[in-house]
Amino acid sequence: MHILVIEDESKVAKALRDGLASEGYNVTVAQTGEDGFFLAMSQTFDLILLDLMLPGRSGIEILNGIRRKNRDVPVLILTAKDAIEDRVLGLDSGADDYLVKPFAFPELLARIRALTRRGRIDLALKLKVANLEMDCVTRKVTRDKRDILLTGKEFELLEYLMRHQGHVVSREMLVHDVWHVTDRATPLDNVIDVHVNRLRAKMDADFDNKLLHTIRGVGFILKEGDEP
Amino acid sequence: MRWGRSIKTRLILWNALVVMLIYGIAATLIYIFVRTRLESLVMEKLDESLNVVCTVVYQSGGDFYDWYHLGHDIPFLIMQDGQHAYHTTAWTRLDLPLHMQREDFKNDLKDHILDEGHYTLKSRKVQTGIEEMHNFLVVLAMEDSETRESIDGLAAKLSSGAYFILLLALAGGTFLANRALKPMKLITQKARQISAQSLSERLPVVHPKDEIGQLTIVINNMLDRLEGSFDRLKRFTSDASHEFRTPLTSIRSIGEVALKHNLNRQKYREAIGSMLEETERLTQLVNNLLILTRGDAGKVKLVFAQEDLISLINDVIEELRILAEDKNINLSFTHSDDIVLNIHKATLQHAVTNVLHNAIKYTPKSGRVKVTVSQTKDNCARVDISDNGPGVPADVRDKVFERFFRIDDARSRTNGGAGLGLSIAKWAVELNGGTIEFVDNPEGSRCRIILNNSKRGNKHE
Repeated sequence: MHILVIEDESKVAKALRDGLASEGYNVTVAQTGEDGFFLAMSQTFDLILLDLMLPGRSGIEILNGIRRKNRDVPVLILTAKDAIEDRVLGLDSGADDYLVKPFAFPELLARIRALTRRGRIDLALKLKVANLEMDCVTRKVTRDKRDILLTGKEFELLEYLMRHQGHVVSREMLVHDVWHVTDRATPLDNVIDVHVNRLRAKMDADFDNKLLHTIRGVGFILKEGDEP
Repeated sequence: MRWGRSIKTRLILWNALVVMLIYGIAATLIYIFVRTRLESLVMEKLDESLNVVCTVVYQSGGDFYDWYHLGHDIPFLIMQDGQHAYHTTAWTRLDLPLHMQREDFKNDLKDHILDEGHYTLKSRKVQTGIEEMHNFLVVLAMEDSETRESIDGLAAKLSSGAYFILLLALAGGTFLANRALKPMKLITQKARQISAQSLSERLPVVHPKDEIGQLTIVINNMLDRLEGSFDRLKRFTSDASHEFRTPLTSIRSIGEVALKHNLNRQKYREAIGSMLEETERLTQLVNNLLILTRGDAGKVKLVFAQEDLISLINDVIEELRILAEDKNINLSFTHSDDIVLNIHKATLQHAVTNVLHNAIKYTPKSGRVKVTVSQTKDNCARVDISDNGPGVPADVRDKVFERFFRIDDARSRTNGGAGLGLSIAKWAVELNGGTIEFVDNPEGSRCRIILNNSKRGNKHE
């Protein structure tokens, strides 16, 4: 999968290139608006990551140019501006999603996954990680055939982690997608931590093979094996 | 200052203009009065002589021998049926015409100017006769040069007086304007010196009761407010820098220490993780500051809607209940019936979350946190969030809503707050047209939010 990154800040561009490459993406970086626009017009990409504040040509201009050519390549905007008007402007100009800097890398990966599988509905009704199984219809969770009784929030949390299995989930993603709070400043980190601890006690405590891992400073990951 | 633009010049000129106008009117009145008076004196004399002459002419029945006795010093002429009948030597001395018609006179009077002076002539018809009636016209002349001269002299004196009055008006006006504008000069000088660095200085109030004094007081009040917000801004900037410094210091030292030693993979992961935690703290700080600065700039446009306050608060409580359970805190919620208010749900939820989060944070293990919602008599909704923690001392109850304020520096920092939660809560409550304050509570703290049921948020609609 080929991703074009248009970002002038070289450290961020490098981090994006390395991070995305390590996830198996093929990454091309453009450091100016002109280069980015030229590349976007002359080659085919599966996704474009676009910084809005670029020297030379603004991100919105590039976006307009791409959309004028009627290219329906998914575009994810990265920007430090998070006022509602800025979001609206970006989305109105044809962006598919919007991520405010500083963003959590796991969240960027999750958004990229969501954008590139657009159209294919990912609504498996039975989820499985190692011997942990979840039935989304009967809302039954078992581990090694043993029932695990979860509260509503714990179930939602586990479902989200299972749907993102193998990928890191940041607290911000949980606030947004599980707690459905859009306000970035609401103090919910403690709440999430306590919920995760309880979930862990129910599903991992009795087993040697731990599935739910905390990655310090980043978030949580549900996967087999100790190595996060 | 340009001519005509300065208040002083305009004041002086207007003052002079008004004085000259008053003087002009007064002088004209005096002139008319004196002139009328003097002229009427001349007329009285003329009438008196004319009466005598006419009486004699009437009684004589036209016999001019009687007229001779009237003497020759009074200049008069008598015409009989349009023909010259008689005149005195005084008349000829004055070189007056010997033939006059009734038509020569306008209102019985006629001015006659000679080299020696000015004469006023007055005529009167007399009808008399012995056998048959004849029409006589008696014309009498009187010199009134002296009167004329006094009248002209008065006019000259009055107009030369105008120059003097003008000078006096200008001088007096200058004096008055200087006196009245003296405080202005002082204010201008002082105001020029006041800058961001010397906002504590105030303009001098010379006469507190007059208009300039009032203006000065108003400006001084404005300076008070400016100084206040300037101080707050200064303190805010320095506090914010300080808050940024703490996580930055952590990131730096963790990174430096990690690089200095040869660590194993696990240690490096820990170091990086710890740096990321600090980064998260910085991000939260920036997000909170952005909320507040956007609120300050008045940029927030919200759509208000009818929301049930009870279910809103219930959601917050259920969301945070797990934190209370974790500390074995008894979190209770008592409320009256549904209260539906016109509010902006997300901001109010944020406010209640911040206050409740604080209450749980500062309440010791196995403590009590109580949320009570009730309707007051004046149709307001009252939300009380009380706990049995250490409480908020009465002297800092206003300050707790200030940005970065902490009751106890060490305690809060380990709890991870930057001291912005209550500032945001206050901002959010006020945005919803409500008030928030800490009130007395015998066992801990009690935060009271009052939401007005009638006028909430109208300005945002």
